[in-house]
Amino acid sequence: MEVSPDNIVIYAREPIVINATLLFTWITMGLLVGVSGWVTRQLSVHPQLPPWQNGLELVVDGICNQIREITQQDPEPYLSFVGTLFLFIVTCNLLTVVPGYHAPTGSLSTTAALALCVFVAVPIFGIRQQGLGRYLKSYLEPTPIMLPFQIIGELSRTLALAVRLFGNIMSGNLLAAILLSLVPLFVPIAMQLLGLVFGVIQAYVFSVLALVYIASASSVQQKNHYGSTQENNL
Amino acid sequence: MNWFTVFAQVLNFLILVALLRWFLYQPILKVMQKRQTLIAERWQEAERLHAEAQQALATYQQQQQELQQNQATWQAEARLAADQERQRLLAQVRQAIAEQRTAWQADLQQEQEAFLRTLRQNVIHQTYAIARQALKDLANADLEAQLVQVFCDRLHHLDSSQQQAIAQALSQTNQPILIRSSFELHPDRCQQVTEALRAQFAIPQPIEFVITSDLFCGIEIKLAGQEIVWSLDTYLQTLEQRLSHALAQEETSHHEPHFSAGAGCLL
Repeated sequence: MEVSPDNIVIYAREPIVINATLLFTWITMGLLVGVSGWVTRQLSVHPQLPPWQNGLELVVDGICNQIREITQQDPEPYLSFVGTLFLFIVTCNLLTVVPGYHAPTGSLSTTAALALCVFVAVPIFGIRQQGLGRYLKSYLEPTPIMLPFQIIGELSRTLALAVRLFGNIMSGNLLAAILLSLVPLFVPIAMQLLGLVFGVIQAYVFSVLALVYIASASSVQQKNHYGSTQENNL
Repeated sequence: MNWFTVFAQVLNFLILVALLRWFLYQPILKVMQKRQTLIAERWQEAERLHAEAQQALATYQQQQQELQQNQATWQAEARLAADQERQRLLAQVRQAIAEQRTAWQADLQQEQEAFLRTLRQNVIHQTYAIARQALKDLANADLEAQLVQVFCDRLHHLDSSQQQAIAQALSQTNQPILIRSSFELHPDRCQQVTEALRAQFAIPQPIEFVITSDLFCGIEIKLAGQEIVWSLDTYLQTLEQRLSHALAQEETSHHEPHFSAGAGCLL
């Protein structure tokens, strides 16, 4: 039994190894981009929408609303990153119902890659929002003694993010495989359905956590900006 | 964990972010923004139309109110105009009826007069014929002769004042004395009348006899404004007066709508 799709190697020529994780990632990417491109090919401005366009607008608008609620900011700068994170993870998790499909999110490489992206994105968004100096200065607050703990926090946060998603998806798949071997009927189906729910929840949790990290990096700037505005007004 | 896969997945994810940004987020956000703008424009248009409709409604309500307020006045004016028109038309009709009535009454009067004239002539002729025949059959007498006789008797029995006035008038004129009769007098009768006249008055003037249709069954003589007449005219005048009186009573006893019926009865 394969625990991770990383172990399913399709093509290998050192250092290039094409495994199931990459293959199914590309398939998922193709599906997402293909559906998006097909639906947005002819978009209607009028209130009578085609069902597919309506569905995509619903998803995009829902993501925007979530971002707005959590960050209390304009969602557009975060939409591409956080929205793609959520859509990719949720699509991977939902496609596990397709026989033969191995969710790339069940691979620690994928979740580590996504967590690495979040790890890099947090300072990028923070620096873009408040500038390099002010962002770096935030690591020294409230006192420079906190700098090591801040760095450890950042790293552990990234690690937790990666392992949480990997563990949940991998464990779901593993549990389904074990149950299938023990109780072949009904219980695996229920577990699969439960796995779908968990998959959506994990996608939500991963995206929201990433958003919270990014927002917290730029909220200092927001706070400072608000404070300076207050000072200017006074 | 395969590091190649990790970096490949990072790359894949970044590519996916770019692709979805290009194919999904931007078009969807753009179209949603456009729709929002469109809806806002439509909303503004609807607001404008609503305001216009409200304004139009207010105008129409005001007009309706004015209409209701003026309705009573207009109705009164219309009623007054209708009454005036009615009065005018009634006056016209009354005038037309009065004119028709006057014309009808004039016609009736003419017919009545014509009828009476005809009646009078017929009565004269009939009376004259009956009298003449009666006298001839019963008393073997001639009516003309009796008329001449009575005329001559009246000449003889003139009162003194009348006789004196005629004599005075005759003395002042040289014109011939004119004796008019409704029938042709026999020469003997002419002689009888001449003698009776000359016996009563001293007359130097010649005496002429004339037949006239104005006189009904009688003889008359006009002497210097004095007149001696013996004819059936007086009887006939009495008869005519009584007939006219009876016709007038018959006419007044009938109402206006029964004019034609009354006239029919009378005629």
